[in-house]
Amino acid sequence: MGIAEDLLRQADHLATYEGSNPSQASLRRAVSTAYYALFHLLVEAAALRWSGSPEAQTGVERGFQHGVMKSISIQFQKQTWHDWHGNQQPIPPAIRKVASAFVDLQDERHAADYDNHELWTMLDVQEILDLTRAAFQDWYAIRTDPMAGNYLLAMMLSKQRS
Amino acid sequence: MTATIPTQEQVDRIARELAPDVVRIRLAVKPDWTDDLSLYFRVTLSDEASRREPLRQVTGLVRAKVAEELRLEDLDMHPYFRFRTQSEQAKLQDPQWA
Repeated sequence: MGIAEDLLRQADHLATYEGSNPSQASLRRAVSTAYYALFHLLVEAAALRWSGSPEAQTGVERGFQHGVMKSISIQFQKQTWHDWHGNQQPIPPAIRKVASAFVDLQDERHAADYDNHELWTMLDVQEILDLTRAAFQDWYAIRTDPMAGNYLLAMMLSKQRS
Repeated sequence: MTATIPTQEQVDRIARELAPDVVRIRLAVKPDWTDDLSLYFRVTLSDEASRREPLRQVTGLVRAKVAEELRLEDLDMHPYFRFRTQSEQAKLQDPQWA
């Protein structure tokens, strides 16, 4: 079991271990952890496609930048994507859902970590965790599709040749 | 026809159509953390709707209805959705959700 699954379980734990009246700190940490669960799911998937040494795989994982991943995920929410040859290719619905969840979770994580005025509730966080779990399931269903590889590669590269 | 930035009036109409599960939806148009102008929908659900399992059946319906009615796919702005219950909002008295 990878760190992504561990983080998802930890997010669940943080949201529920205090019962029906969780602290804002726990809810915030749950949201932040949920984002990092999906983040690691994707960067681990990219590293696994790299057949180099474990050190090189770590290098691949470190090549990802949050802002770039967001802007590419915005592109992959749409129905089609211009591939590396400039041809328009349909994006499978599961990848579009993962990309959309990634954008959502990243913004939630930013609010949870940096916006002290934002208040969180059990339902907020439960919905965010549901969204994360659904993104995991969608990813597992689609991860061998060639478009999943394109999504990961595009997120790793800061620029796409036109 | 090009989709335009939605108004609170349009969002109120959708909320009424989604009643009694949805109590209200508040729209804010503001930059997200990367400064991209975005749509924030704060959805207050009835306590009864929030207890329904799975929760995503309710929240997914709200997301889909808002996206379809406001033609969000045609807009170059990402929609963010947040959900809370009527009881939670009553306790917090958060003006952004009122």
